[in-house]
Amino acid sequence: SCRISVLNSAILLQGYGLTSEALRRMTELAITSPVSPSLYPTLATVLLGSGLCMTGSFFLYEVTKTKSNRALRSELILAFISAVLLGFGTLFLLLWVGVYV
Amino acid sequence: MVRLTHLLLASLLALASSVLADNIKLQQVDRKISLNSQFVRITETVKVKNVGNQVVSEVILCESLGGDAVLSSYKVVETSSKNVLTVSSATVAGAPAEAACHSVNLAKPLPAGETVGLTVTAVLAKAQIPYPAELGQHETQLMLYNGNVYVLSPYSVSSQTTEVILPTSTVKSYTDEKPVSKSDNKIKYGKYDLIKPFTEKRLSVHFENNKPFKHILTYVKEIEVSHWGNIYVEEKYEIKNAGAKHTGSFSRLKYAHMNLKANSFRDLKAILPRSAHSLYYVDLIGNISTSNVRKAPTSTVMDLELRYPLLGGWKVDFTIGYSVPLKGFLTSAKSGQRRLTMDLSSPLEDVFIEDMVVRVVLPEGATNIKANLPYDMEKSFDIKYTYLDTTGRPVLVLHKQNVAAPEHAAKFSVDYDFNTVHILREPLLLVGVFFALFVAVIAYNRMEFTITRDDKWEAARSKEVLATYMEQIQALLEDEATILLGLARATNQVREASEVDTAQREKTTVEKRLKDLEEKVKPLLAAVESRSVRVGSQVRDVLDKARLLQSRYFKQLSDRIDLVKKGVALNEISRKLAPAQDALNAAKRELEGTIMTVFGAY
Repeated sequence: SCRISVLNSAILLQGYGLTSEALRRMTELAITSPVSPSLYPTLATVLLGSGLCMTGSFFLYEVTKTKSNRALRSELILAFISAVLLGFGTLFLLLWVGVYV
Repeated sequence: MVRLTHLLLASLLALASSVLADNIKLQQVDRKISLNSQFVRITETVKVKNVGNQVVSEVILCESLGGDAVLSSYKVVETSSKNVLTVSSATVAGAPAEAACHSVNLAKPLPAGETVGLTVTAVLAKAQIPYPAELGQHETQLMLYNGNVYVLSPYSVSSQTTEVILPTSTVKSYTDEKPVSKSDNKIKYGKYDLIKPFTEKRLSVHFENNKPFKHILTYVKEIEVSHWGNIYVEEKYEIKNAGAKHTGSFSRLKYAHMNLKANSFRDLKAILPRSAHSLYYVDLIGNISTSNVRKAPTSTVMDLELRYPLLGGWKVDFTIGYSVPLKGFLTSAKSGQRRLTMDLSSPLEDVFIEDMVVRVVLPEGATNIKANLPYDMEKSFDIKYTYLDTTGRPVLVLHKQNVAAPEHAAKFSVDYDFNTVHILREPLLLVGVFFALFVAVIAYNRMEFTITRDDKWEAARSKEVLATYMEQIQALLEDEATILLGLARATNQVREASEVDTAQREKTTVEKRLKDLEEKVKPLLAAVESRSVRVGSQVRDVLDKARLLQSRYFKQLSDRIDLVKKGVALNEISRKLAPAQDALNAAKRELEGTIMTVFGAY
């Protein structure tokens, strides 16, 4: 169907009298989003949900471990994973509601 | 005499530019002046003959513009081949003040003695003058058009006709230059023979014209491209009724009841792309609900009604917006460049735009921006900051004045380089912000905020250190429980005499690991005892109980091995070992309970 729509637009352009333009059109590819828009709701929910879980475990770690038993490495790893999940989750949430950033 | 001097001057000048005024003759000119709308549309079919003895490659054609008239569109096409010819404005000496001349480059140079047919399409705006200039409500509008009876041309014209087409058959007056005839809504002037170059004779027609004079004073179109899958388009209009000005009172009742709306209008029609969605029609007050949208086979049609009808001289502003998906508008060429193709001019029908600005907002990280335009426009660049932007989005600003809607409706394209990596700028910004929040929490937890370090603080500190040791001891006890579980599993798997050796080896590994744990517990226990004797004795209790449990496990294993060596049947073994097993499980549960009570507080 992608090919057919390109062909349609090529024919439309011919109507405007831009024949060489139309021929070039047929060899161009349509650009699409890196992620299919129908996946936006699912991705937003899953990423935000798991991001909140990881945030929860990060804060649990912060409040249960005593001062000397904490390891900076595991803290940073938890924080990084939560940040990545929350960040991408927020992005897909924005895209889902129609704010195409 | 003056005319002769003018001719000589013209020919001298023309000599320099290889266009001689007397080597070209216009054999036949048929002109149609259509006054059937707010514009003046002039269509001329011109037969050009080369009567000199040199090849001619340029022809000069002129139009007469009077008063405030503006030449919005001027196209010349070769009649037989329909090739569009390039046109550039030219000044011709000897031309009258109101003539606008253009120099047309012929596709093929015209040899001597040959003729070529050209079709000229010109659109003039503001060429119809309201006369009278002011009207009351419901009075019919009369317009005055001033042109030239003869075609203004630097060459002599052998034969010409002019036809003036009017919106209705009501004509108050028109220039009487014989031969002239009026039939219904057409006035025919012609045929005139052997007219000299630049002969002026005023053509004045005073006629009824109630067509709406829709003038858009300013039009700003903003196109925002997002590679995540959407293109936003927002158009801001300021529209004025440029007909005869309204004077006197306005009666809403009379307006609603009478059929003749004279020169007022309220309706607009916009032709949008087929895949347009999320349309809105608003102004400063808010949403305007008097609108209708329907999908046609190749477009989306939006019927708008303005907030109030516009009588002569009145104006109003509004904003239209919609979104389109990327398909059909954004493509990528083989070279890697991205191409955005969209409509350049307004989607409204039959309007005259005095000042048009088109802003194309490309995503952050777009470089090497070039535009392919169907006609000349001023280009400049700008920056826009919107959602999740760091460095701002590049904006290509195109500006043009005096745009006539039907003639200037064309597509344009913008080429730019965009590395797909830049699409990650937005999510990475979000990730960075969240990570900064978490790092702030980590930093906060490592900071000490007490002002005085008194006894209460000391007590809290030592409790914390004790808790550290208790946590570690608890971890070791958990390890021990796991090891014993493994031993129990190994015990249950001893079924034949041959498996006894594996069981023995298992036992020695378990013993070694338990010994390691013992070594680790010793210093911790000492530390706990030094801090608090009471807690130390509690921990010692727990450790003793754990050791007793270990010996039960070992006894269970050795009993089983003995029974297997004796060759007792499996269910017999299970039956015999059952009471010992129950006692073991009870002891295990008791130990777990004790661990909970002792270590639970830490």
